[in-house]
Amino acid sequence: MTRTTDLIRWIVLRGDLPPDVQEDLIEDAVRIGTERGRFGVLREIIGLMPLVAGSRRGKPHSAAEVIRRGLALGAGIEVFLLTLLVAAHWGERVAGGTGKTIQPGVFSVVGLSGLVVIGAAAALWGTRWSGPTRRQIGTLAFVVGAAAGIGVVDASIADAVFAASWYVGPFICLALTLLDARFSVAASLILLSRFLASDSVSVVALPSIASSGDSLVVPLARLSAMAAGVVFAVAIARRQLRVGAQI
Amino acid sequence: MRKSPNLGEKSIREPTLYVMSALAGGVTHGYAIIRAVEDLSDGRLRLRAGTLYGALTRLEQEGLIESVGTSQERGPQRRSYRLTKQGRRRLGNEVDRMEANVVMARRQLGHAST
Repeated sequence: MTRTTDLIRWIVLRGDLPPDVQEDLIEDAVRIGTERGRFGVLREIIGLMPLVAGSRRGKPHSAAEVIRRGLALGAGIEVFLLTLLVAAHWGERVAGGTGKTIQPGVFSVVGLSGLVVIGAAAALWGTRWSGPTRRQIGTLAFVVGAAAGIGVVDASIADAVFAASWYVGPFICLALTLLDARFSVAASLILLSRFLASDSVSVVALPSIASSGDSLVVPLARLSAMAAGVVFAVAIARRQLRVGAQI
Repeated sequence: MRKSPNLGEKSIREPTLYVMSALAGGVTHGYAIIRAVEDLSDGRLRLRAGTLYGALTRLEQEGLIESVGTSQERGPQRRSYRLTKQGRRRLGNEVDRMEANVVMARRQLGHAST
């Protein structure tokens, strides 16, 4: 129970309730959760998530903030994947199309390491000494640097990471929406990009229509799938916000 | 004659109505509110602590409830709450509104008592 209490405390302290209210909440969450049987504590923990959803300091009522941060998160993931893809292709081309791994020269090793180090330094600097915009720029630089590094040095790793993220990423994001509304916004963005980028989505969504070869049907199928993704994500986001903001 | 409900007010959601009703019974702390809501709703409404304290904070900010210091019950000091005059009035208006709706609906269904 100590670990559970610690976890509950850790979550509650991320929110911005007054300190004495936080203490009451921690105690009651443990007590009520324990009294409500097997999954009671788990339900209490899930019930605490909206208190910290939306921002680092917990402002569950700010829908605009949740959407803004969710879009930033989704964009960050997309930038990482696209950089990975471009870098992997470039790496293979430089290697003479030999396939998986390039022979990194001194220039590329130093250059890429430098990029990663600069990105990491910028992220740390942004996190510690500056506002949210600089922090995001720093984080983005780190993400780009890391992706470029992975993609250029080893295309096979890049391929694997890319493939895993491409297919599994949206579902992970959707699963995480249960914990944090930001992820629903990020998931919607990622799903949208999948729908936009992949021809196969129309096959998945509407196989019979897509196979008819009608040039108008495929974009329409894609639009339908996009709309479904948006509606789904917005519904989840609204639910999360509603639960967190008001009862 | 019945006073007409205040049409300018937003209706209160069910869990909030129960929380405010629990507080209408007197000064109470969080845990007791959760228990009271469960009792008042015959076990139908089981508030989570996170939901309750989010609501209490919001209701306090809206001036509908107020914190009245701390009390002790089998453990550490706990913050207790009570309805403010504004909260009591708001709850009364909501009950009037609901009552009016019930009367209307019963009449439409042909079950209104004369």
